Amino acid sequence: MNFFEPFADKPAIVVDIGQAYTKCGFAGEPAPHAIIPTQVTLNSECQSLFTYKLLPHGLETLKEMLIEFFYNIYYKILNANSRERKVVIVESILTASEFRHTLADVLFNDFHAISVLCIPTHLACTYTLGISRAMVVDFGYNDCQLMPISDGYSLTNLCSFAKLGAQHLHEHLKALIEKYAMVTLGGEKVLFSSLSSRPALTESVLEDIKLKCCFVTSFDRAQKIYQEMELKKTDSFAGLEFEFAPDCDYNLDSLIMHIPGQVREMACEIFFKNEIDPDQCLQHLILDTLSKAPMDLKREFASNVVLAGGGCMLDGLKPRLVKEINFLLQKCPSVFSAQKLSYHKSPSHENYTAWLGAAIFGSLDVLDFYSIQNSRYKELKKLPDWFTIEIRNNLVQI
Amino acid sequence: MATLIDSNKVKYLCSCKRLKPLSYLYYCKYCKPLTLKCKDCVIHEIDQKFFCTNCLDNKVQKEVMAVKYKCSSCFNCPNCKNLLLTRASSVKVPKDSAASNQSLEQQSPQTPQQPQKVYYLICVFCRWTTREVGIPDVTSVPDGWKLLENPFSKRVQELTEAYKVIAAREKLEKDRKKFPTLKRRSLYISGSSASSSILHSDKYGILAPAQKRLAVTASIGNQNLDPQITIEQQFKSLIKPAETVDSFDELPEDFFTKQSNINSITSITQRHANPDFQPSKTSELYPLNKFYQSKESKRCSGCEHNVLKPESNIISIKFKLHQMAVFLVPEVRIVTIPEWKINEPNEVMLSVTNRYEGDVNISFVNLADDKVSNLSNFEANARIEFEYQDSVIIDRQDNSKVVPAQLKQTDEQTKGFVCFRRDNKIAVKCLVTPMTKPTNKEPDYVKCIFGLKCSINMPESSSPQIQSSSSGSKENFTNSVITHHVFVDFGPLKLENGLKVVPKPRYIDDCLKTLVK
Repeated sequence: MNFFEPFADKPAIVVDIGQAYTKCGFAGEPAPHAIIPTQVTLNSECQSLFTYKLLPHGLETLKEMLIEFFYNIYYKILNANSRERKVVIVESILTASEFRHTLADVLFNDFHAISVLCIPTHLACTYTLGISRAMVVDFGYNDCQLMPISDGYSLTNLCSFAKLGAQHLHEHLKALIEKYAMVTLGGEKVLFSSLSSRPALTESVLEDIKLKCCFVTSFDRAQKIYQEMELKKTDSFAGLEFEFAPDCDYNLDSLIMHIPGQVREMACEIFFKNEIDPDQCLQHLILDTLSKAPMDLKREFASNVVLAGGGCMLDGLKPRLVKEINFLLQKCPSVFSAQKLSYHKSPSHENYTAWLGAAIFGSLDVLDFYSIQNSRYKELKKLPDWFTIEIRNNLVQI
Repeated sequence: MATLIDSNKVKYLCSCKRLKPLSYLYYCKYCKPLTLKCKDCVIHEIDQKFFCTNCLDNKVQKEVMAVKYKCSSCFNCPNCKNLLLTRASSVKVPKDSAASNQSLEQQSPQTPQQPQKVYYLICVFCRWTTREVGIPDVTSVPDGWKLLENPFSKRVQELTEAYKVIAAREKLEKDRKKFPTLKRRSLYISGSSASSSILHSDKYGILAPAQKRLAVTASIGNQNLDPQITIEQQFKSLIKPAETVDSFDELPEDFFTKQSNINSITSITQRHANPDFQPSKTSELYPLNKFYQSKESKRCSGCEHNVLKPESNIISIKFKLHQMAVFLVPEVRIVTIPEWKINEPNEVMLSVTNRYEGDVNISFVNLADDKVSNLSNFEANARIEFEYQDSVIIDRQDNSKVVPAQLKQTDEQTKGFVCFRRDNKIAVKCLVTPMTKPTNKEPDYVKCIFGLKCSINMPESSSPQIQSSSSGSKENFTNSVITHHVFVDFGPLKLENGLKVVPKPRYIDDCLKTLVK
């Protein structure tokens, strides 16, 4: 037996259940085996795992959904026997307790997992870089979460969130499309919203439009647009002299939808400009958290910013964010002494950074110390919460 | 066929109190009484033999792990996920030079040419080819298209190695703390200078495990255990921490002015199909290796006997053992749906099909038990009545000596309760009364529960416990009676939105006419 890899032929299973997509694979591998939508087909209806709250008998339905979901992961995707595998779950720190308890119940009682370790998303991200102090920004589907990590501890008092997820981007995009987009009907262009029976803009359609048409515009262009809008005192993007990116045509069912340049360019602006609450945008969020950080950790966080989550794979988002932050730092130097922040590039695509961190951790033989064994769970009858669990992790005190 | 059974209209109660359609149910003949097991309460087991579903190449788990579960010779289309086929074509290459692409372009028309076979991949469904994205043709098919390695795998490997050393140290320190006395602890600390330690005078090999650990300690390096060096310093000596950047690459300037072709951008499913690379442009698509699969057997959770076991031969799709409930429990289906009248009995026709290898005696039981009706959120709201309570025989599927006349006579005694009979299928009439809720509100759905009492002759040899008592005769059958709880969902009460009354099928009408004659 190899001492370093006691479970070499049965590596632990690592699952990152995201709000929109679930990443699953084996510990010790550089990329997940599969990225699948977090959905299950139950009673011939396909629904997302997290809609359980809207359903009657929510928790019972959730359990059924999780059983189906993990059955798929274990036996259809990973081809692994659940009884002989350890499990590492990457969990958001905002996961509802009832969800965690149901998850643990399913893994231990229905799938008889050897042990389960729940690792917070932000902490997992630091393992991909070999650093112990970092400020991790996770761009998720539901929200954008910031959490400074120091020596294996998530500094919950500095944690902050903004309702700036892909979901909100989709909503905003939908509103813009209904306002500006045109369709060709019988040889002439009409407003999409004026159609009597228009195809539904479902979440998947919006996601596809976002992916294929939208991008985050550059800092200079955004400044010009906002200056002109201020000059003309208008809220509408129509009628500006600014030359937006060219329009593009998108096939929606049998229609051809013309998505104007302003929609393509301005849809992602919700991340950087919020009319109602100016503080609820990415650059303010990051700097706010930094300024609240303890004095002796501030510099370290500023020079170790980690951007993770599928949201930051949007075209142009990262350079724009950097420019916005640098602009703010120059504008008010009193808040923060550094001229600019330093960012990490994790050895992965951003949407599975947290998964990769957990996969690295899952391949270590200290995994047993930190996970909950099946016998222990049967004693406790519940999964300890993530902050009560003894993540006294010497490992991360690098 | 699968959709017919998997319609979720008629469900059966499993022994784990879940409601499942018949297609998800198995039975365990070793558990007494005979119990139904659904797919959520059996133990699934992956066969250790992995195979590619296309080329049927098989491997054991360790080999499959080494190639990351990917078959090296079969590919799926990165565009539409269908199977890619290998196509051969011939190109003319100069005789003297090897078959490389550069020489192909540089050749002059004068040089003598020799046809050579090259291969490329094509998707017959969406017409995507490897030539489309500029992947060069290959000259030999097996292992022709290389498995691309994750661009970050080296760094991830380095990180994992470094963490492993530290993890080993941490484990060692934890183990040390387990031994309170200094003497014993010294066994773990002074690995190299342990000439005086008892480990080295171990004559009888009792301390072999401890020695093994000691050897590992030495392999990590003795300086690791020096308390002067912190874990942090040690980690830094093992690996360079990640470097940071001040800015990211801006989008190119022509991105904002150039007309973009949205067909050249991949969809999210195309990106996620290849997690290692996640190509964002269609020109970056690369054939996806097919994954190795494995067969799955299922065991009863109570007695750990197999309820489903596929044949180990990967080419075969048959089962060594299959105890699917379809082959034991009579299947109930809805034949007619009337226009519902609330609080009045409505005539509904149900069909019952027997797929068991012997005749089955069934009778319908009214269940007034509240315990059952509240299970699994079913909320039955209709009463179902059967006019005929005695048992009815259903023939077996492949009965060669059919005795229709005899059975028809018995059917006449049921006074029209059994209104149709053919081979192993009968149709029965029942009365369904949708009830108003206690709140006097009309219910949305019509759902009801009844018991299906089946009495079948099971060969005794299948139950080893009883075998000992009747070891004499082979043809010994026991009659076992099981009552299945059947949950029927007739659909919405108000037939709107295109839903129609389902009338009596013509074959039943014909059958009834002959009965009257």
